[in-house]
Amino acid sequence: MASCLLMSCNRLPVVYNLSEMNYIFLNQDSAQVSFPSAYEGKIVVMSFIYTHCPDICPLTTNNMQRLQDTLSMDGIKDVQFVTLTFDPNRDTPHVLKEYAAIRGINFKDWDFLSGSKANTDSVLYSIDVRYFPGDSSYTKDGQLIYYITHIDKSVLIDQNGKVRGTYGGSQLDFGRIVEDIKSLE
Amino acid sequence: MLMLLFVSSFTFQISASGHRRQVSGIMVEKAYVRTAAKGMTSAAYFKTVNNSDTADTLYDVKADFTDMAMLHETFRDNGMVGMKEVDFVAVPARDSIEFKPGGYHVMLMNVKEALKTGMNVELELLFKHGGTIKVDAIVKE
Repeated sequence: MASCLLMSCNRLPVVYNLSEMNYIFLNQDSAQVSFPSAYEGKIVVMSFIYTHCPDICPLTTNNMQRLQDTLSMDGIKDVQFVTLTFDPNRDTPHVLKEYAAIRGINFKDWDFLSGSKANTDSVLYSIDVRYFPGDSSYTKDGQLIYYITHIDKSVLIDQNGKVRGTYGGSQLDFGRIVEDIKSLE
Repeated sequence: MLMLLFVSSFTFQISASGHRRQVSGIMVEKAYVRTAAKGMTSAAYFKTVNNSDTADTLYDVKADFTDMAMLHETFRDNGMVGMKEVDFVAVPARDSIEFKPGGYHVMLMNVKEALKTGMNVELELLFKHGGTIKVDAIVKE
């Protein structure tokens, strides 16, 4: 108990420790972002999408927008939103920016990250976010369109790069994540 | 007089702000399409109500505002989500089928122009018995 008081223990246990990693991504403005150190000192809500996903991923993004609005109304500041793509092959920074912009997303506290497959997989696998190729189709002119089967998840990262909670993406427990964010402030 | 009333109940088209169409006992309502930037992927959702005594089948969708439209279904399995193409969706007699997020949807690939909130687009739904039903869908997130 005494050690807990001295160390400012949080009620949320550490689920994954990302503080030792350092992977470079590009955000929607093609600026380099070192993950997770770029967000040190901030609470981070991280979600995972790919822009060719028509159904689930827009739900996840919409949930993140709603969460951002809720936190703002509750006066909770300094929460960074990060969205990482499963599909850096197609989801370039420009594509991610268009995906977000048409949804009216404010990039002030929200980065959409795209990186190499190796860096992407390193981050995803470290937090048990799995994905694999799913069904595919061909357009009339023979272009291959593939879909991705992926986990439906978002994570809460504390100010020191430690994951403190996992939640749904398209099915988000707003009450729980807001309470958990408040406990990290 | 009675015959006229009988025919009209099954073949008239209702157009209330373009959001509801009924042809041959099949009614399509609450149609909407997700926002999407030009060249990207969107999805269409709607409710199909079968007011007839005959089951029907939705087997295709056409959308001029996009390169390809396909019937799809989202599935969930042990925390993973994915989607698969479906060849058709049956609409039982005196019943309804809803295309909604997380379930059946029309996948719209490579939209030709940006779909912005508030725009209206047209879908053509092809039914085995009901024929082609044109529906106005509103764009929203």
